[in-house]
Amino acid sequence: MAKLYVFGIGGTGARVLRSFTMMLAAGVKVGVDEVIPIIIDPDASNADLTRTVTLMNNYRAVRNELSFSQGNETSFFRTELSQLMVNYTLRIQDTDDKTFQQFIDLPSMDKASQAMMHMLFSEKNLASSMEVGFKGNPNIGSVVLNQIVNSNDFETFASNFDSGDKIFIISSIFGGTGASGFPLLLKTLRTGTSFSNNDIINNSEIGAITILPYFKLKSDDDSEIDSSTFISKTKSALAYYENNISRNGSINALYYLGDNIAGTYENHEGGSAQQNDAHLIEFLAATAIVDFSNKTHANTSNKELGLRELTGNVTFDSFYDDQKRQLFAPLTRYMMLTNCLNYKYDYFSSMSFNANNENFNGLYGTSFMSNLRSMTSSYLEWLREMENNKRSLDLFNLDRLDKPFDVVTGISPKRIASLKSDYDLITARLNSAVKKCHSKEDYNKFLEMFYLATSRLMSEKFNI
Amino acid sequence: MGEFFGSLYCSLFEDFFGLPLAEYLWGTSGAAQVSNMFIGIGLSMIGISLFMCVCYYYIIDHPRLCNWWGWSTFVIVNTIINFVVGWQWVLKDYDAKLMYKDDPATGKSVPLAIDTDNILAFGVTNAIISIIAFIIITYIIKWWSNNCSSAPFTTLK
Repeated sequence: MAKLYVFGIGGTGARVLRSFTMMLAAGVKVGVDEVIPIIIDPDASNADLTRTVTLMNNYRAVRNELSFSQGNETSFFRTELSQLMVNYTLRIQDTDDKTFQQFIDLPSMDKASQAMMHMLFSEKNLASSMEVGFKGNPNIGSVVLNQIVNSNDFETFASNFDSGDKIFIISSIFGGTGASGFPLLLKTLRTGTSFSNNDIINNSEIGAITILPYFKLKSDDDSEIDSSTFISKTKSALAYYENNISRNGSINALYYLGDNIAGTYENHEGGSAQQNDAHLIEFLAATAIVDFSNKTHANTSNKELGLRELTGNVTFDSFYDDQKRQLFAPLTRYMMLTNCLNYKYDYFSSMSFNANNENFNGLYGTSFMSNLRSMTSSYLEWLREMENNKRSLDLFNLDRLDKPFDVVTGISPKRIASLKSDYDLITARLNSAVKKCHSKEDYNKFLEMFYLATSRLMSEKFNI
Repeated sequence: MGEFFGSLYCSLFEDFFGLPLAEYLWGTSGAAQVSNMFIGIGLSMIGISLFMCVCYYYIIDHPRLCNWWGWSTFVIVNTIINFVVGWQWVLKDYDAKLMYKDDPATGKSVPLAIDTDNILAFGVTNAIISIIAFIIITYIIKWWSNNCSSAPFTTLK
């Protein structure tokens, strides 16, 4: 059973993991049975991180109740999401309440070393608190993150690693934690010898996505982060990556992602205030993980993503056929489930819904159902954030939840010969599907019922 | 079958629609009509009720009708149709002046003691029996319906 370890470095890493978790919930097909997310971020209170952790906990709470018996082809929550570390986070020691100069113990250095430190780091760098990360300073991150290889959490990862497992690293190139953490982590994975299974890990298939600037921050004199430096930092890092990552073949697949249209966010250095709305780029970065997991890369491949057209908002029609095929059916099926559990929950949890009469006794009051509904609410929230962001990812008509088949932006559903329409048609398909389920237990059966019904509807309404 | 339907209609409702009409329908009134009319009327009643039930559970089989009032709507429609069928079926003979018999004393043709109220009462009888038929058919065929198998009452399942 192959596993995929996904390292999400920094705030961007956490946000991409959020998108990836949504795709796993929807049943986007990945080439592994188990995904193990590992977040590297010194800013433990970062709201992007805590939101992602909450979502992944929610996913696992639903997934743990499911067993997928033989014949059950349900794709919702199919992939196992495992937790190796507390809050999925590889803990970075000694960054709480410390400035960088305290971390490196600058006062105890000899004069020559201190002079070197002052040459490499500005006074602002040295005095910078690391409680909320490296604030866009990769030179700080490259020193601090060197210690992760010696941590117990890293050893936990290494000892859990098996032959055939894959690794994927998510980082942004324009910040501090991601830009410094990615090359360091890659070097450790490829050449490190001080941890368990190092020979297997050194030779494993490793992919990564490096995300180029896709947002700006409002100018703030009190903040150490200045988004006008994003491009220059990106150029420097790209030059470094070219020489030290791509050319020496240390990575199997390196995905690049960027956009020349950028929205502007509030300038927060980190902490609970740093909660950026979900973004198209993070969504596309998650598709890179999917792509990597489904393919084998013998030699170094450098990959970029193209869209069919970029005239306005991005919709399913903006994707090329392969990507559209990969995403359209699972995300739309999950959208139908989401609509039923949000917009029409009162009906589907009542005895008026015929399938409930011989099944699902007591299901609607369980924590499984509240977790599942929470996942679907998060899905709507995630979609809405991406739709309102710049550039907008407008996959679904989120204001037409009363019309479940008009929900896909830009795609008109086929008319079918039936006395039922809209939610009545969904209900009819669910009532029919529940009799064909292979699952016996209610939790599995409930999701299998939705999977069978929505799959049939996808075929009837969208020719999928 | 004629015995069955005749007994069904007459055992409970003969007093309601009257003995002369019952005898006429049995074909024993002495009129020109000598066949058992209960067979045709009863089979029609069963056929219509079966058709309505199949419509509700399998042809329309609509999720929104999966409740007691959805089912009741079909019962009411079925009742009205069967009332009209039963009433008109007999009224046709009345209007055609077939409800006469020969008086052996005078040799003249005299009308049977049947009036339009009796015929109307028979229509009501047919309607009431069709309700019973609809309920029985419901509990025979409902189980395989996709969307309405729990109607009219889930607790009775």
